[in-house]
Amino acid sequence: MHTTVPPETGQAQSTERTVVMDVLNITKNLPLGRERIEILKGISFQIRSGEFVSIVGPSGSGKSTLLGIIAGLDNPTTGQVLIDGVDITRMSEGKLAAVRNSEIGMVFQAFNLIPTLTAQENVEVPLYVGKHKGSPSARAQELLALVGLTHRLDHRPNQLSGGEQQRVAIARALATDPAFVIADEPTGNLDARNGENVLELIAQLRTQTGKTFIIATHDPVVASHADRTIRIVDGKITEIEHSNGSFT
Amino acid sequence: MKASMYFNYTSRSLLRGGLRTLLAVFCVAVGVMAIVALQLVGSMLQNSLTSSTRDTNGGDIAVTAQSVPFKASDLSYFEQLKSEGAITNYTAVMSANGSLSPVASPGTSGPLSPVASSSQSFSVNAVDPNNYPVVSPPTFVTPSYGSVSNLLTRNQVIITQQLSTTFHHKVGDIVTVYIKTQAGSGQTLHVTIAGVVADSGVFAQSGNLMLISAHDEQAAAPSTPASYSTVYVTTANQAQTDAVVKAINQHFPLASTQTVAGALQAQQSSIDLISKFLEIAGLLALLIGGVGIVNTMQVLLSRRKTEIAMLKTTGYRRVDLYVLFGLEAGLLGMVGGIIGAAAATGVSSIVRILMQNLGLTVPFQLNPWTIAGGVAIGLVTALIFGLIPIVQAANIRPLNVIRDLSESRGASSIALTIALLVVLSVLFCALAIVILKNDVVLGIAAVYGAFAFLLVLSVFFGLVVFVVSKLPVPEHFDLRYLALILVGMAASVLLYLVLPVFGILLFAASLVGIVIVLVPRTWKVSTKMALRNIGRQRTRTTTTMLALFITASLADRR
Repeated sequence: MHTTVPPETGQAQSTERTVVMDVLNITKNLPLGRERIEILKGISFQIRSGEFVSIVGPSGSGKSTLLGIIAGLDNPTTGQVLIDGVDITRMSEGKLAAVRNSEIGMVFQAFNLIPTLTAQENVEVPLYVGKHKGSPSARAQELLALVGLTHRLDHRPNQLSGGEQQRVAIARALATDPAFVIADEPTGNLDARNGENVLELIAQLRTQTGKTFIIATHDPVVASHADRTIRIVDGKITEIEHSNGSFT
Repeated sequence: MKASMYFNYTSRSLLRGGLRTLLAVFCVAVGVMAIVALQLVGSMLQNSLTSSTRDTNGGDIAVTAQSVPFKASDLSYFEQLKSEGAITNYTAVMSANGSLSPVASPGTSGPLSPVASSSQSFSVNAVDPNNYPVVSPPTFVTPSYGSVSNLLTRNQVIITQQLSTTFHHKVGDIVTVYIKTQAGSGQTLHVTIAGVVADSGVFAQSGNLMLISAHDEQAAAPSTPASYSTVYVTTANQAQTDAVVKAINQHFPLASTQTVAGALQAQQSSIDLISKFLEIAGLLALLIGGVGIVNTMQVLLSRRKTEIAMLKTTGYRRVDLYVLFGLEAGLLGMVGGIIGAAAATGVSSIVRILMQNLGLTVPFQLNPWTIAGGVAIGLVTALIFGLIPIVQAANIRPLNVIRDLSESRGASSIALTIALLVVLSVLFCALAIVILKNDVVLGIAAVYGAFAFLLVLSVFFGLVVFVVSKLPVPEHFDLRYLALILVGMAASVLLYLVLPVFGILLFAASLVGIVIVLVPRTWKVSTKMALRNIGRQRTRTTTTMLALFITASLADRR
């Protein structure tokens, strides 16, 4: 069930876009000793198809917790996350795994590649569960070519630089052709040059694939690449900044 | 394609495990080695004892008259049975004790005093060379084509291979033998060793035995009437055997009869007992190896928490991870099983040699099914004991990929662990019952008895870990700390009276308690951190201690 919303102003909102993710009044409480602390205090926003959204905030603001919830890795205390109109917060483990496999690709600050597998095998990993057409190795090679790593297919993660590892991680995130790519501080472990390269790659992939990118970061340079920046402070959205400079 | 990736992932993960993987393989290998070696030895024993029971028995019926030996006139009864067709053949044997003179010299026979110590004694059977044995002829070691009738002539004797080895005599040696029957007086014979027979068939359980001709024995003591200790009888069939046994028992009420079936039954019950004992010993070794697998796999998989969370993030379900880690445990078990089965072959060969040195002839037989079964047991054991770490690993939450979450210690986690332990015990019980050849009661008793022992041991080690993790590391001596040291020392003295080694260890620990206050501050901090770290993963530390204790106990026993 897609909701059509009016087009936003800005470079990537030239046409009408459907809402592909609806985050509704998310709260998250966690026990801390005998007390419970409120990490997220009612977060609501929508993500549209093909959008590049950054979630920014200081350390401890709850952005990683929010990212975990919208990626289907964690459950909120209350609230809903609708992907294509389906609430993923109340799904069974098996169904949620299928959603993570087919709808969401994830990229992490620490790359999280499997150290015993080669670059190609790492990209193939998501293709061995769920239903996917074609040969996993051909798909992996195609994606590694897309991120410029054709010459590194048989290299293990410890034989790759940080930037190359993150490229492999991005290729893995795209392996199952998901609707969303969700990244947690994707440039956090990279130097400025490699960080910029990865951001360029994301921008290029966004153009080529039309995927929706959601990135949590505290880096204003990363956030500046986004169509929209959702700022979170102390578990609440304080402002939403559009790339044209307007605020909500 | 998928299988290839799964295999690559699991095999490389095991290689990456390094020493931990080796330890797990060792645990499986030790368990499998124990079970296969003990099964092989049991099987060899069984074959040794039952394969030629008729030959070992000397005939279909062995009639023994120890208290009142048969006289020559008694043999007419057997002759009558033979002429009536009730039996097919018989032979009478005179048994005596023999000893060798240290100096071998040719000469004539005559009465002499004993010339050798009892430690050099052996059995001597005087037989009719033309009618002995009534079962399969013996296998000659030297000369290879010898026969009893050809060699037992003119003061020539035949000896068993064991006697040849024990007394270092060979064919052609002339020896002086002092022979004493139970009833008659002793006599000395100068004889030539004409043949050496293998310790098999009719001589399988004979040990140190010398065969001489009854004629030569009689010629040495013509005034002593012949007395036969045993008559070996052959019959045409089992019905005949049963009828003849009845008739002989009626005719010679003081004699005892042993049929092949009776010998087999007597041997079988002792073989069953030995086999069961060996199998239970192997099973316990396997169980102990299993504890090692649980511990090793827990450590191996907990190191890969983020990796497992990553797999879940990409869409892997619990069931996918069960397959992946099950394959890992299976590979581990198979490698351990192969190594264990290979080692068992060597160990069983050594055991066989040791048994032969003890005088028991055991043919070396490698049952391929037992060896293949060993590999299968290794595989199944690894899967059974891998169950707990695999399920725990598959339960890792995908959120671990973003932040390190502590392991759940809630009621559901405890309930899951208890349920898994119950499943594990039931599965291992089923395996034990299969290994113990469907002996359900023994299987349950062995497995749950061992589990109870391990539980008691775990509680003890858990308590030790708890106490150790709470030990204080003070900056200065204070009254409470000194009181603690004094209590420790007093306890060590009391413990010394019951368990000296543990008493000394506790005393040493108490002394360390004094020393630690005097060491530099950085050392104190390190010690404190080490003690607190022990307490952080109490369950795992307890399992490690249990595995180390048992491994050390096994090594000590070997």
